[in-house]
Amino acid sequence: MKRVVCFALAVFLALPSAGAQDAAALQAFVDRAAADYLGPAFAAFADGADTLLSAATALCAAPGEPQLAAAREALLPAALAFARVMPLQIAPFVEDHRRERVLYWPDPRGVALRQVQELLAVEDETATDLARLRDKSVAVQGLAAIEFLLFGTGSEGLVTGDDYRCRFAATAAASMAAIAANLAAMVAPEGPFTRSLRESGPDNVLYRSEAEAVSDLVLSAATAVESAHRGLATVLGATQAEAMPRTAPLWRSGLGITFIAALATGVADGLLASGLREAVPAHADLVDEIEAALARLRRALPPPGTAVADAVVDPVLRDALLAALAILDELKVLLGEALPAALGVNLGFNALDGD
Amino acid sequence: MEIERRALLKCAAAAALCVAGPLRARATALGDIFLSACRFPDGRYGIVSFDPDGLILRSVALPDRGHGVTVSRSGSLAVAFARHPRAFALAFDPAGHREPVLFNAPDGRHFYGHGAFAHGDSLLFATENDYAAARGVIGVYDVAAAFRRIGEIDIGGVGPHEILAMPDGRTLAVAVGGIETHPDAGDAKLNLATMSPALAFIDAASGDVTASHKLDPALHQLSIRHLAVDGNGAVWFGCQYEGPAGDLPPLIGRATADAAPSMVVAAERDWAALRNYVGSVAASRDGMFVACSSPVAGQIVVLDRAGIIVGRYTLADGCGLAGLPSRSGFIATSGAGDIVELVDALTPVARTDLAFDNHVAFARLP
Repeated sequence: MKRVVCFALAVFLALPSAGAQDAAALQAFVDRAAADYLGPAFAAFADGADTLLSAATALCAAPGEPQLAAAREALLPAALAFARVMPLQIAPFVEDHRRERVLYWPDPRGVALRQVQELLAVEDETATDLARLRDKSVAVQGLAAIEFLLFGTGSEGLVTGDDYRCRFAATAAASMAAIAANLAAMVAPEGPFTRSLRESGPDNVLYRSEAEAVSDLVLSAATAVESAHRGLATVLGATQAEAMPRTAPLWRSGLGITFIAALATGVADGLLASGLREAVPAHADLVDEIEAALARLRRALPPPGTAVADAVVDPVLRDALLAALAILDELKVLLGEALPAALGVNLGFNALDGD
Repeated sequence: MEIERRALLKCAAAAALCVAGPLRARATALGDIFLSACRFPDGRYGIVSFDPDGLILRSVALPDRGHGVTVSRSGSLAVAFARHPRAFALAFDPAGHREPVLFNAPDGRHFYGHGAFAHGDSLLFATENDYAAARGVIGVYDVAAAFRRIGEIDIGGVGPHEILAMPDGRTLAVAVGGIETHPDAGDAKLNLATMSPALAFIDAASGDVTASHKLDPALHQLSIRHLAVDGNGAVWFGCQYEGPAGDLPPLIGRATADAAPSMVVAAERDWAALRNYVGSVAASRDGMFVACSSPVAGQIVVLDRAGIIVGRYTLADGCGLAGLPSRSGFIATSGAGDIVELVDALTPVARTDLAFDNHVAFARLP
């Protein structure tokens, strides 16, 4: 005889976990996330990418120390603005491989370095044509390529007029600026993605309910800390001898640790700025915990500009990074388990699995 | 029920691998059981068996998260594989009469979560990643030699996922997902722009790849992941789409070694309901129907052999599927611990405090 346990209606199985928030509260959170986080964050990335493009173009037009310094300096705000949105699990990033075109990372096999060096070796002119660069590997189209060209071996030639190297860097910067502008347009207040996000419903291909939209936002925050944790753990290795500092993103420019920090905190900060506390009024303690963990993470990390190679072997800095790793572990639980439960959305044991 | 749960937790909490004692005396008397990887309430991982009534029978602890379980034709042996990118597998007796055997993929390889017995249960074939070379391989293990790895087959692609033995006992079908991953990069997909999935057929005796079907180039981002064989010997495959979320490509198709893939034709609304993701595929025991689940969407569809969708069900985080032993229907499981039957309607069978992983295997104990 079949044992029907505790409940009889199949429809019950379709409901998310207990404690689901009301639809209006979730909708309000989604609306604010669109207006207060996604729109401004992508606009900042577009601004940073534009500034970098201008600096790279100026360097090519008039090579010199100040121009190279300006181009290098412009990399930082563009890269950090990107880090703050990179983990977002939203359609505009997936489409056309925009995320990978901007930064191919993690890159455990060093594909970007190898491919950029191959192009440099033969001075492949197709890499200096925006349309044709798009047809190349995503690894040579964005930040990783620009960073190597501006900071890597041979970059000193940019001062004396390494024309090919400079035009390659400017073309990659133009590619990134175009992608950033496209993304910013999609998440602008009246942009097509913003409409999909805010106007969920049965005929909406991306989001059938406000809970699905919230799920993607929370999943993004969880993905961010997961990705930062994995990246930092790989950099540190189990021991000093096993450290792999060159797996850090953009380590040549000294951005590695700063980038990972922005990656870890960007989405969570954005959700907090979008009224997360108001979205879970019965879980003020949880929001306090998240804020406190983010603050401790910032304090634990070495100062911006710390070279990754130094940090993984210096006892004090290594301990600081290990402490940061432990805080990221806490954040994985807070953002990946506790927050979805508080919001009443189910990220799903299997749905998150990706297999 | 509480006694069962305590026994389960006790086993799950044990530091070493263990086989749980029979949780109910009737367990060994039952011939038809299901096996699934799961997460226990205390956060540890393992494999549980349950009967068609949803009664949890046994558990086997795993060192970390498992994924698929494959069962020998005799029903006397099963192997659970680690979820990628881990390298362990655990061979165990579904009836619990023998100690389990833990073995590993060699250095530089990890499992993709699936395997299949062939050659009269004497060999085990497992999908693996040669990650330094970004190369998918099928590892070959000698069952009688404590699962010693005796060779490997290059499948000519990356990201193989599910593998199954065809009814002839000598042909293997392999879902070659086409997605490159690396243990240092976690779940990151490293080649979305260039991915090239395939459905491959391998002669288990010679190791020759006898056929490798590619999809239409327009569908090159449709990662072929999961497989089942219907009563006509057609291999049904379920896919995960890595292209734009607004695209609604067909996610289910079928092929044989001799016949190129044909994709199921369905309404856009049906594809939209699956959210570009199929997490598991199973055939009914009579071979008449195929079920495909999408845990991302919380949806399960059942198709007849003509490819017509004849059933649509909602199960939050539902993924595991297997044919029912006695009827033309399916058992399904969810990450929320639900066990349900899909026979015309969705009928709850049991709710547990386990998080069932993606797949369910059927075993008929000898």
